[in-house]
Amino acid sequence: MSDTHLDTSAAKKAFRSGTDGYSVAVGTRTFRIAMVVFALLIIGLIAAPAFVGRSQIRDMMQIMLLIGLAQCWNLLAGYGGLISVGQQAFVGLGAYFMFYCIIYVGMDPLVAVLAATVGGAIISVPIGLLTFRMQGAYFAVMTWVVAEVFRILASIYPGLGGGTGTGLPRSATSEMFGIEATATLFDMRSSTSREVVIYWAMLLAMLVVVIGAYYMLRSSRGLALMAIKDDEVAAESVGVDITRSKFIVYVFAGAGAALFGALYHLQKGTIDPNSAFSVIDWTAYVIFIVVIGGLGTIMGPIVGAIVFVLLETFLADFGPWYLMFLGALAIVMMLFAPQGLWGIFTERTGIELFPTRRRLLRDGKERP
Amino acid sequence: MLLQLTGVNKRFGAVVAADDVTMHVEKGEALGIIGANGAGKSSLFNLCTGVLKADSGEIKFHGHDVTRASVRERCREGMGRSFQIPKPFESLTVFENLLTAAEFGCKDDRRSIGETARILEITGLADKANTEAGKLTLLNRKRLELARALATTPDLLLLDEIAGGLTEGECHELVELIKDLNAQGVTIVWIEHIVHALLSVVSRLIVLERGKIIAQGEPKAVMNDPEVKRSYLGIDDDMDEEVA
Repeated sequence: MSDTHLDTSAAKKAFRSGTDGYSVAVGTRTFRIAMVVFALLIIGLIAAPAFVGRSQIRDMMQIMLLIGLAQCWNLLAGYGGLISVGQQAFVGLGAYFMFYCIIYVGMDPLVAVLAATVGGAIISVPIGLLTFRMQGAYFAVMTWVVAEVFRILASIYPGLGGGTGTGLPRSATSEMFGIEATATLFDMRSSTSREVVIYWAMLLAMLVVVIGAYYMLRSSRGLALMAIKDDEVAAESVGVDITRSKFIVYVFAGAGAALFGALYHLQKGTIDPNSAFSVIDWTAYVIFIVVIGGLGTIMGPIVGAIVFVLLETFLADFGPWYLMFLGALAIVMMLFAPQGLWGIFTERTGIELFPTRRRLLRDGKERP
Repeated sequence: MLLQLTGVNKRFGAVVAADDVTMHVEKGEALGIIGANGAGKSSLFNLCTGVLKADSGEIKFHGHDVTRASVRERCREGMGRSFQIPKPFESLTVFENLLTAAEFGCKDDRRSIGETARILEITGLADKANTEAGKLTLLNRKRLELARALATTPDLLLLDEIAGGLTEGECHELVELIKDLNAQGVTIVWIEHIVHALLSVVSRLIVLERGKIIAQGEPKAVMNDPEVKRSYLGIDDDMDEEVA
């Protein structure tokens, strides 16, 4: 019995030195294979402009935009327990901030996108301080109210066109970093190469958000978030800083939404308050995507975004019926498959492409 | 003195959860708390750990005032607790439950994987390390409550009916473990209805009734106190004589 005692002094020293044969593993074989596949896929996506047309590039940008936004919302709701219906606030603010930086500060558009991302992170702090005073449904309502306030402010601010909005000056986007080089590389017109540069930026942004979210979940912050989701009182009782954990997620999601809002509007070249702060485009569709794909998984939003864009493409001719179908589908999924498409897939196959489980090993072997 | 409560009051409307509670816990001792259901035992733990905020009074831990400190701060100061109804992090594995506690609950760098593994061994959970906590049996959930609290390296361990619902054998095992922990210097405050288990560990006993301490002291003397017999055991001394 004595060798299994919790010796508070000597044992601790011995254990910290790592001579006890215990170790922790997170990755799995599937994960390593998946990483190779993902790496190949990313290389393919980088090279894509060389062999696909402009409309496919646009479709892919649409998917990447939605994956990025959905991943942010997934992190908020699926891991932070924060049901926000006001993420359009950050999309719109990011977009407006980028426009401001290009038009009034004279930044290169890609630098302005970075500035908008940082701006999104900074503005999410006071917004969070305000909305975090509310719980549950009140929090959701509050996030929407805040987004509406920003929409109204944007529509009365004359500097960027007020309610009717404005466009980016041609000179700003045609001189954007990388356009010339890309045009020469692929032997294409500068209007096309502009889109290719934004496509790469969008790809990079998506990768940063997905990989960033995954690494956060693998870190101890991920443990804290899961613990909070399971039982807040117990989490606090073992020292988890609840507000801080939620705040980190909130700032991450705010910065992410601002980043994608800026990129989307850079591609579009115009901005107006109603579309930049649209609750339908930036929150309702995004929630649909996460619900369809699977809340609380990294793959869920990816699957959901692809499915959503496919549905949009094939059902576009049905007009309002298409929206009713989306609504019905979301309800059916929530009732009968709350784990989403990826959740169903994982249940059936046991395959988890982004594992976060920390397994305790002894001498490199897992206990039963 | 490790923990000191002075004139602590807590009310929920007409219900008195703590009525002018003044008590202390010495460093290294094992203290038992008994009382009927609703006597305010769990509320007392919630006041100590900060889950409930006292209406008035003062709570000192390690000599400084923690009356207004958060749950998290008190945990990191060295307060560990188990919940009467186990509250495992169900979607995490047993090991991850402990890892969370070790990562966030330790005030300094006293954590390591090996130590977490050792806590799993002494609490009998080593074979369940990689099992999701939501799939555990009641016994293992109770063990996890204890293990997770230990992973925060507490100086003071507040155990809330940890033996409730266990078989005699399981209960015995738990008692031995708690004795060991106490012998190694962890201060124990234990709320328990299974009196014989409690009395085999604690050296001092407090009895609560409607939020008030009605008796405290050496366990045998306290258990023989007529007030305690009436309140807690439902035994009236007069009736005793009649039966005799």
